[in-house]
Amino acid sequence: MPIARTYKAGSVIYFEKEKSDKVFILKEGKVILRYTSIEENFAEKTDTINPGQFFGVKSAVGSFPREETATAAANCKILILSVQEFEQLAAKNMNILMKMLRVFSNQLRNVHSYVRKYLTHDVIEQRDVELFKIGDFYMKNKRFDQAGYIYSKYLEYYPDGELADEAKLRFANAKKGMTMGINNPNRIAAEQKNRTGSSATTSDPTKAYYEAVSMFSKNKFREAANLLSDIVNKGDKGSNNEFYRKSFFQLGKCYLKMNEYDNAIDKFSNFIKKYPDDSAAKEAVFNIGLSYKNIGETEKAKGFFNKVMSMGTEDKINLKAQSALEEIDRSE
Amino acid sequence: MAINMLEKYGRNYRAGDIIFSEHEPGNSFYLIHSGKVIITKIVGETEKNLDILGPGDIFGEMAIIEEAPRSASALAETEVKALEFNKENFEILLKSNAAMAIKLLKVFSKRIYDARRKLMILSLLDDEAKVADTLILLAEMKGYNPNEVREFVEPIELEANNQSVSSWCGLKEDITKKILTQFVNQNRILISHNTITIKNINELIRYVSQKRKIPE
Repeated sequence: MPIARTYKAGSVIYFEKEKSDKVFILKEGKVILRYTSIEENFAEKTDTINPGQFFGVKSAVGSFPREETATAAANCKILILSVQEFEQLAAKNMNILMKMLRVFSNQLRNVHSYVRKYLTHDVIEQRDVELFKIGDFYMKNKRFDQAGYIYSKYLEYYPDGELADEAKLRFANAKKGMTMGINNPNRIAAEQKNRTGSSATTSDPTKAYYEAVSMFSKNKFREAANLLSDIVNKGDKGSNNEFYRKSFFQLGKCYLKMNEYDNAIDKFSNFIKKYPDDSAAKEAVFNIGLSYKNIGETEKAKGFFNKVMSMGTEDKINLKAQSALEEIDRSE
Repeated sequence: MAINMLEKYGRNYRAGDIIFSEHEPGNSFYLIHSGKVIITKIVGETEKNLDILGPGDIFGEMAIIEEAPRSASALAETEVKALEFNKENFEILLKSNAAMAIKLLKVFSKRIYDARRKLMILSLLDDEAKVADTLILLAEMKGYNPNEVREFVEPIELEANNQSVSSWCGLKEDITKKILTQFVNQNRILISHNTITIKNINELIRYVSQKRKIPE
């Protein structure tokens, strides 16, 4: 049960560095929190708690020492809860919980930005190189599935990266390793069963997908499209299969590359309908715009590019849409 | 879990699949519905297992905070069904799932504390002090409480090496190594394969707080 307690003005409710699992709600009065701000050059700071507000939450739920000293600035009535009681209460007050989450995530973002300021350039290495190195680790350990994933991701994020050619080569090698099935005895058995049928590649959507990605990276779009169509035509069997989803999107990209814009529009529109929340949805909208632009339907193209501009946070795709819109304006 | 949530956000992984890799851009976070997920980090030539997570656990949550590269990898240890969310749609999930919101609140609390502690190390001006404070931090992570009064100071053995210390204190490995060697010569610590032993943590704490006081 929560305990109600009164504190006289000037008395300390808890000290900095104390460890405790208690959360407080101020009912009446005023509480001052005193702390050293690590973010702001160890400046001494104070916060005021007013009736209705919680305090001592972070250190109690995160089970670390108090970061501040809490003092009653007037005569106070305070409700003291255990972490468990706090959780029960919070679960019933979604609004309070969401508000706290927002405050905490802002604090976290803030402190992270300070951490980053201190990390000098030579400590933060190039991301693309680092990702590539992870692939090397898996290759060395003959974990070809995982190496394949890393190299395909490398090619997805950095298609023009310095190591792209090397990644393609290694991706192909990883795939050879995969077919040999060294790292997955279960899959060897599965493949042996399938070998009696037509091509073994299409029996496993994952493998077929990687095969297609590899074809795509070698500019063999027709071959890639054939493999991807096979995966897509089989359907996702009611489950939300990762590779089915990716194949769908990739197939649209193949059509775009082959200048088959009607097909591309069809695939990307269906992709958006099926997976409106997918992180690739924005790119799909952009690609529809691009397809319309290429077949000369500029009004429709504009509509889709404008849609891109309104979707989510600004990124590379926004910039591409922006310049496509400008290009249309210039030519009109 | 509502069926339509599973349909809309559910993703399936086979055992061994990488859900995301360290250094990949991070845009989504996950709630495990079934199966086990292992969090790993490749340090030098070895893969370190940081955590094993199960149904109801969340991972990749930093994607809500900022678009930074992943700091660790998540791999499916068994067949896994997980719900995938991003910055735009995660509030939907939290509003319908108080337990998950509370879990996230706890994770964020801990992360804020850890980040502030790291900031305390990074804000030191002197490289030796940074390394010393990192050793203190590693002792704290093992459960050492600097506010507890003790009669004896016992040696504290840490599972750490040059690389792990270097990644915490933001110094290059060769500089970290030089300082650690210097500490060995000063009889402050002992180093053996993958362990560092602090001989007298109070001495280190005094040393660091001295350095913290004189930032000209």
